[in-house]
Amino acid sequence: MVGSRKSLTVFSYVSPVALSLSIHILIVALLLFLEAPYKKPFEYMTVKIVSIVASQPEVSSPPTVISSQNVAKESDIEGEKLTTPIERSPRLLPKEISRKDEIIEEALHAIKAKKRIERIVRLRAEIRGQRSEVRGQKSDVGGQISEGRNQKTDIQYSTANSRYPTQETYVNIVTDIIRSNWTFPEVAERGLKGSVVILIERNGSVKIQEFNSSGDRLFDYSIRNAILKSTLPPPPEELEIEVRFTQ
Amino acid sequence: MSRLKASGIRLKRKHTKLLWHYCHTSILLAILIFILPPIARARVYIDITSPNPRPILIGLQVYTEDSGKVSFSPQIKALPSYAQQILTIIKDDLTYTNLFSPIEERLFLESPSGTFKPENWKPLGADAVVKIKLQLSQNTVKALSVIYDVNEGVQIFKKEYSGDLAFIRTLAHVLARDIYKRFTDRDPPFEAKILYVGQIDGKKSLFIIDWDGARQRRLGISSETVLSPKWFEKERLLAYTVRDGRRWSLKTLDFNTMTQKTVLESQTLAIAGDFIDRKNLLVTYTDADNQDIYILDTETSRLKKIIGGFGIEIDPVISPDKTKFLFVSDRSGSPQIYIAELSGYNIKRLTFKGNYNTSPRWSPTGDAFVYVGSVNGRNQIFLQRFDPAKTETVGEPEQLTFKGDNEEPSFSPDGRFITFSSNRDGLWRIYIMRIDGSGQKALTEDYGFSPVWIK
Repeated sequence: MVGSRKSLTVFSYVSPVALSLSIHILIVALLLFLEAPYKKPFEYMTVKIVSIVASQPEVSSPPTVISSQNVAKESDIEGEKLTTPIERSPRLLPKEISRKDEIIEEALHAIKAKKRIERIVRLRAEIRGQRSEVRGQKSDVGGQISEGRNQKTDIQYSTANSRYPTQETYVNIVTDIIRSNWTFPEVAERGLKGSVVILIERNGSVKIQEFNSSGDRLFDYSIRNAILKSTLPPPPEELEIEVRFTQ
Repeated sequence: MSRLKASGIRLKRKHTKLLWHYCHTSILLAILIFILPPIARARVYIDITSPNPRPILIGLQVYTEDSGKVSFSPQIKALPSYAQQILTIIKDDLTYTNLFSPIEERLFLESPSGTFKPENWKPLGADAVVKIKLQLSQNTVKALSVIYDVNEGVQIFKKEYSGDLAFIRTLAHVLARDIYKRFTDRDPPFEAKILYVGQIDGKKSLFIIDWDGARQRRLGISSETVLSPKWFEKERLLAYTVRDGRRWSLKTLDFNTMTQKTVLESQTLAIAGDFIDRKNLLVTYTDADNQDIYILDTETSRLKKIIGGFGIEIDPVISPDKTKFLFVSDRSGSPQIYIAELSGYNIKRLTFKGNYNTSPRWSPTGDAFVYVGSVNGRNQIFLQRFDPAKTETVGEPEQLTFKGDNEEPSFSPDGRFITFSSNRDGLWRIYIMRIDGSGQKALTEDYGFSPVWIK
């Protein structure tokens, strides 16, 4: 025993412990970092589930109706109601399952339902955002002045609904806003290209970081104006975008 | 258990340092993981194509500063308003380019002399604002032009001008030119003139008008027939053909000295094509009822044939790089446009649509030419894109005119406008249009033919 003790040097004990420790810390750190972007949008999504009917200990649980009105209110969708109530499909519970297990099952159900509602609310918000964009574009058809005004209200509207859960959705909205603000005279050079790198800060303010000239002054001017005119909603995260303009 | 515990204690006691080292490393790593992402931010790419077609919305304000006790001559007092006239000319110039769209004055929230405030212009959708302050005195006028960028809220241009009160149009065109140049970095044709063959008392004569049709004036040249004026910008030389009795004379007029010179006299028709340089002129010359292309030495009146043959060879126009020329030939059976080197070799046919294509004229950059083609018996103007490097046409010709007969097209110095003559309203008059065929308007009320641009 003594011999074996000697052969087992301290290192063979220490390194695995320290390694596992550091790996644990790393994993925790990684997990924290990875979850961060996905968590953020939900921070201000206060979704409350009001009445989840406790499932009976009997054979089947009745469909659980979640008050959609409350959800709608909480998620700031004005006037819109979730018309289809979310139902829980009837499910058979074996009688042998103890009360404790039932509670766990119930809790799981509640979590699932919560997730579904969250998803629906999020989708609604997205659809809302897109709709307001479309509305803005349609009303752009007016004359010079109404054009300018509509663009403004359009942007304000989308700012109010700025709960963009994903970066992709956000980038799509940014694209639409910049495109709607990009104008260039018809009788001019053709096939011009230019790009600009912008930094969108957390509060939605835009900084031009790089400007790649097209070689045509008027085209460059139109690009800069498109960026300057665009009021962007706050992004989920600080974002760097290279916008490439092609005539 | 006890052994494990013992080893744990030993571990703690003997190798705390090492453990701390590991801990530190992992903490550092964790910090790095948290801090690095914002630095190495992933860049997102967006592609935006086809902009909304809209000119630059510009607010134009011209005002006269109250210059106190200046007594204006009755002549100036009679003018509706000096500032108003300047404003109208600038507006017309900029609007016709289709690159600018002036905002209606009744919508202005800011007085012309008021300080520029972006918030007064943003609701109007303005991109830029121009404020021109005029100071009038007995015979002179001083102008201060300032351009502001509305989106950035800054002044982007400031320039002072002064001149004779009488040259109001020139001043206005120069003011408009600088506004145009500030945004495009190009020279507009606002100060350019158009020279053409007009008619007075039953005789033909040469006239000059501004690019907007204003200020018509006559050159002291008139004859029974004046044909085909051709302009050489570099030397400010004009070549044209007149008929005096039975003789045809090919003449040049030097605009620097305003001296006229007969360079060729003959019983048969000789028409100027284009200047190669000050001395050599491409001409169409008729010899034994056969029209061919020659180079005329304007000093010795010696002719050298470069394109000949049984058919007609007419209308040579030199390329902007002076290496090639376009001409019309009926060698294929119908008049078509060809290109050849100055030596007369390497002839290549360029037009294949229609059975009557004449009057080719180069764009200033050589990447396009216009010509007259016959459509249902009426002459129309076509634009053909061209690749000078490959010496071949690009794409299909684009028909620009559709009403009446349209002839003798000529590119503006900036290549964005074309002047031509048309009889769409009965009488032959001088017209202008943008190179896409839009904005066609008459520049003369009276007879006009063969317009050419003069810078």
